[in-house]
Amino acid sequence: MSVITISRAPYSMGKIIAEGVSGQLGYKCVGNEIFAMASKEFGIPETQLHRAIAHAPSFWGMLFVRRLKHISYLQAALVKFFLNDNIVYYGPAGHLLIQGVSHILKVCIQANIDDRVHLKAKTEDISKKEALRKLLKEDLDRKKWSRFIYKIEDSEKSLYDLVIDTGRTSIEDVVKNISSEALLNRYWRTTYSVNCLKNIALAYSVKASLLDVDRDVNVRASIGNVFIHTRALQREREKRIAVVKKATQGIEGIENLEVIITEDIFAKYVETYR
Amino acid sequence: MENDYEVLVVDDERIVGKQLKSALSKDGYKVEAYEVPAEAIKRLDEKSFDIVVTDIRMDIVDGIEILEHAMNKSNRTKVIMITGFAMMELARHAMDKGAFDFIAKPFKPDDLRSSVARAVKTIQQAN
Repeated sequence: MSVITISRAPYSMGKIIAEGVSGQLGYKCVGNEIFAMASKEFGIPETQLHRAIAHAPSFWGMLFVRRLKHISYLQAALVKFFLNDNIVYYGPAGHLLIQGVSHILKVCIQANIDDRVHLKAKTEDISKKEALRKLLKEDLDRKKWSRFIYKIEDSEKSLYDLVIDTGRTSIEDVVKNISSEALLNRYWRTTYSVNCLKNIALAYSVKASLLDVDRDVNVRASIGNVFIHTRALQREREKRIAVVKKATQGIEGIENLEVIITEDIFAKYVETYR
Repeated sequence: MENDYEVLVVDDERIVGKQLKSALSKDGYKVEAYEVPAEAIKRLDEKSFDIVVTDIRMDIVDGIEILEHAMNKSNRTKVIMITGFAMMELARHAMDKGAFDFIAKPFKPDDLRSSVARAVKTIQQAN
């Protein structure tokens, strides 16, 4: 009756734990398959979606807006997928952004660095020193990525319902703990939690369609009512509303659309001194 | 369309209680509505209901107390909580206490209808 998300650093046995929980509860286990789902839904090649989140943001990396857009597509696909029942998700792409949904059990797996180094060295057939160097780089990239997307640290414990240290607990017990927690009444689906997910899914779909118009666009949805906050020059107000309405036309689930325009002070300033 | 399922509605806003009673009665349920929670509790002592639909934030007696009272009286009763102050923690708290469903106000009539229908189905499956 619930959705379980498992966050972890690379080589922390996250996949094995997710598969264990999935086997124990009879839930569907999903990881990187989310790329194929997003690719199918929005017609973006999987390789581009991978690239959008594979590396930390950099000056020479993928264009900022394109990256944001691809991440929004991934998030929209992920939230839509979460509308299904009984899922264990251990893949990437923004499940931390889905806050406030009571039937999603958010788990963070913490493994000690020695165990991770050992596993990486063995898996990639490299020295422990090389494994440590690579892991530290990957952790740093992950942190940068998390700050870029979520504007938060993904290691922040308050983001999770369960934080489990695999250095102190056997994998078998970790699987048991997560499975028994997921069966508590508190993680049952409610009309409210499903509506929260539907609102988030709709907001992401609308946002992805508007990033070309305004990369800082803010979208909120509430039972079919969509509120779009965007910045534009006062004289371009009507034009912007028309552009927004055209870009969001045909998105399923929109019943009412409200565009709230804030004066773009930066553009106004630039225009004044041109 | 008549059915044998009895529903108790508790909401201290008279207009909401009236609307809920009207909507559920149209669907064939036998509905009693109370705007004073203490009176609803008294009624729960007198008889068991199949389904209780209660607001959470009310003066003196809140919806969680109604939930506990209904569950103590009969664990067969399905309690649907409604609130204008929905938050994840409150939803989880209500579900921990044994609520059947949790709905945020304002809601679409179909949301309540389908929740009540699911409650009926669960009762039927248990029989």
